Amino acid sequence: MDRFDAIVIGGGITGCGVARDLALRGVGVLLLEQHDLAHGATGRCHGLLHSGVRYAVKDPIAAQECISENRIVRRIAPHCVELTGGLVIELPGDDPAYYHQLRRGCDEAGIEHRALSPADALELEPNLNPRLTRALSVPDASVDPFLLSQENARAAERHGAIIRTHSAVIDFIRDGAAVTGVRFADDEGEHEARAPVTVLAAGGWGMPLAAKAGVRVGLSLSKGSLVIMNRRFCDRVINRCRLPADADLVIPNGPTSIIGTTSITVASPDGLVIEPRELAVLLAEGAALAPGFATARALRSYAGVRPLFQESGDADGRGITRGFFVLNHATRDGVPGLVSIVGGKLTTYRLMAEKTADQVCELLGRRVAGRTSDTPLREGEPAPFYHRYERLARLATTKPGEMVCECEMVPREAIRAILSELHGRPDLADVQHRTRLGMGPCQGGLCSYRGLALLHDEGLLAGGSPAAVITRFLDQRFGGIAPVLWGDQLREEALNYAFYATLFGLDRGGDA
Amino acid sequence: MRRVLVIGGGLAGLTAAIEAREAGAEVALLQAGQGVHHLFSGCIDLLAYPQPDGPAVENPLEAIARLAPEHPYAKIGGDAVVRAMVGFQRRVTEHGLTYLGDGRHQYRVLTAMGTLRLTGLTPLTMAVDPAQIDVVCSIGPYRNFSAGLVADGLSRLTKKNVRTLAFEVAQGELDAMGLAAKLAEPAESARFGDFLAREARGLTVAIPALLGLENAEEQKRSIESRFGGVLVEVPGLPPSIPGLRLMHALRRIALDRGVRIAQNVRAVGALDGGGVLRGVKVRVADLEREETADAVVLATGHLVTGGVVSTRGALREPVFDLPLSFPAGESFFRSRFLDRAGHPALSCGVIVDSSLRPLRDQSPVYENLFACGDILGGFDPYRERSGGGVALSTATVAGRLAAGVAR
Repeated sequence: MDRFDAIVIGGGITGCGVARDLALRGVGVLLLEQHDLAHGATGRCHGLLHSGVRYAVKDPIAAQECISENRIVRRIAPHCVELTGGLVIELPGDDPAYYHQLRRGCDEAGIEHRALSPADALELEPNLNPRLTRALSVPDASVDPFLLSQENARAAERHGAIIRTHSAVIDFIRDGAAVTGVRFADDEGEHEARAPVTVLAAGGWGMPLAAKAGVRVGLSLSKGSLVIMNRRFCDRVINRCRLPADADLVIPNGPTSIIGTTSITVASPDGLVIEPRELAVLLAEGAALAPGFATARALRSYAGVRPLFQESGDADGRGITRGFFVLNHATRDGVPGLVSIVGGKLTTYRLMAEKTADQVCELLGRRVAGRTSDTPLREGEPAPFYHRYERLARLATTKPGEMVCECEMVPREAIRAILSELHGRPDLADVQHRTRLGMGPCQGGLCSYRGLALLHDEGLLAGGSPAAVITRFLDQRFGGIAPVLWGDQLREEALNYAFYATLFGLDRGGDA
Repeated sequence: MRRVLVIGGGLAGLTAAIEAREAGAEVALLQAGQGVHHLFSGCIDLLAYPQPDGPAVENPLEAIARLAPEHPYAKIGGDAVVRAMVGFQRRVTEHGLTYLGDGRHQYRVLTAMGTLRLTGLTPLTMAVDPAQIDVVCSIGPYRNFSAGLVADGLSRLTKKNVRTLAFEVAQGELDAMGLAAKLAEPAESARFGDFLAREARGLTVAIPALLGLENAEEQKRSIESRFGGVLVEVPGLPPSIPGLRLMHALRRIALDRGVRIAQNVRAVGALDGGGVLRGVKVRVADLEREETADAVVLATGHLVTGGVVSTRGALREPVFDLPLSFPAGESFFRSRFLDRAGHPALSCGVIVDSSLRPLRDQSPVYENLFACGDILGGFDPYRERSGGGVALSTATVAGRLAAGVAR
């Protein structure tokens, strides 16, 4: 299994999309992801399926790509998208000229928009700032980035692709200047895989990897921080009517709301820290959009990096295009066998994947057209979006002993269904990404024990230490929780500490 | 008669109330809610890890004698700890609960994680050397206990092959409280004993801590007589039946002694008599009224129970706005959740003098206000495993001082 037609490095939405596109064209693909699928920018974004309105004034090409892909993603992945719709609201003090520019931009990009009176907007969304002066309705939506990535990977697997998570690329295998494969490492050791074409879809991790092939890819890493509140403040995506700035988007996400983002240039995609001043801005601006926002219970914060392509120049994060670029390093740098996909957005992932796959097929000498724009991600009956109400309905038929996570209503059966995707590696974070286990208000307090017990009962802990598995999970999730710990969430977390440290002794390894 | 008001109905509050009452005071205990006893494991930890980076101590009393002066144990002295322990053991025994331990050695208690924990005083139902355990038996459909996980952990620790069993209660869909009640029914208890007689005759069997709320020890003996072995309770995630069992007993003791207990009464502020408390302002639903007292004991616990409250970037004692010890410049949390050094936000507390009176600028805030239990500063109950012992012993001292007994 060490020879493929193409190797894709990176299991974010871009890499998963490229793997699926290539697999659908009959290309034999290996995808390598250093952590879990959607570990990077994909799993740390808003989960906004852009209508394009956000870029309608400043980045018209990105706006057009967004609206066209928005329509396609709704069609091919209805179960990953909640059709919330969006509102753009103008508040006192916002530049009134921007509203008119925005409507013109929407007309030019082909984004449907409808003016609403403040009263109509407030009737739709009663929690909004009652002082809003104007509102536009646009076709934004909320998308589950984890599910979308997983579903692309699953579709790729059904068409013969091999997806390997927790497999980090260490170096390229070279034949003269050409890249002919990669060396990668997983829990078991180092391995080699070879292919005539390797695709670098590693987002913020792409620069150092490209450098290993002797190629310079100019990326500007722009950190964006977000906060998840434990209430759904609005049923629609709320955009502030102004040029994109900090904390001007609120997105409903299941039972929660997400506010984002900030934009700070950073040197590395690892070890991101959410600064207190970022939190202050997010909560204050959230309260400007929806009063009461700042006093609600914050569940978690997180930060990702936008890997923005910047060949030269010194524009900051907001000034760089959200467009994407496929780089053929044979013609660009004299390194055959290597292609990079850089820039872009979650919303346009499919188009990015298609253009990348076109380039790969050209290099492989295959004349097969892409068909992802009209092939549903799931075969058979189109699945509906996974509403909380459906989970609620399922409660009626789930025995209490079967429910592992009450907050998110995850039964044992839902976890069993994804166990094969762990490839024998007991990782509760991987379970969380696939089932929402531990994403609710208790942040894993009760369900991480039950999840661990299930992994044990299914034989995944044989040879490993249960204490080490649960400790790793609890420590990992704390990075996002600690910055927003106050009030009730701090009480909850103090209780979690009392159980896992004081009672179970995991701070001391549990072997008193 | 001297009137004492105790704020808080946990281990510390109930103990202080009983002590003050036994010392001759008229005592009222106010509870903001209905208690969080279901969160308490039932073990009374004395002290296991005095230093974040140091080893476990095997003799808690010896280690208590060596603590830094700001530690609550150091403020009241080792003899007070021994007196409090003995008094506690005597009282709960009257109500059918046996707590074993003399403070000079640790018990090792198996947990639902399959790990071992150290504790100073242990309920009889948990007091078995884990190395003796042969079998771990689940009680279905209880979710917060995995026999496999426990047996696996125990096998690693004792290098012994520990078997698992699964017993299902007759009526399938119950929570911990319901399961414990069901298992306490004589017929179900007998069925369980007969099950063990078939599957584990003469062996030592660990089960989730689901013996009854009342008469757990009697139930244990009756099941044991049926299978000729030993039953061990294993503490785990809430709701904790052993915690409820202990608190019910203490509550009954308090009521028997004539303590007045009022639930859903929240203390919200001081009745300031100029350096002396005349009593406290309390809120019941939306009504505010006054409770007068000659002395007040603050036993409101910490973050979990609302004894300390937080807003973004700030921690506060909400009843009297007492100063909290918090090392300057420290952040609230360390970056690792399960850091063995604990978290500063969880260990801050009220600074007191040797009479447990909260201080502001080195002087008592009120000469008749005493604090005890988790709300005290100078120690970390979570990290040290000292919360139970500090609660018992400081409450014993605070209760007596509030009742006017000289130290």
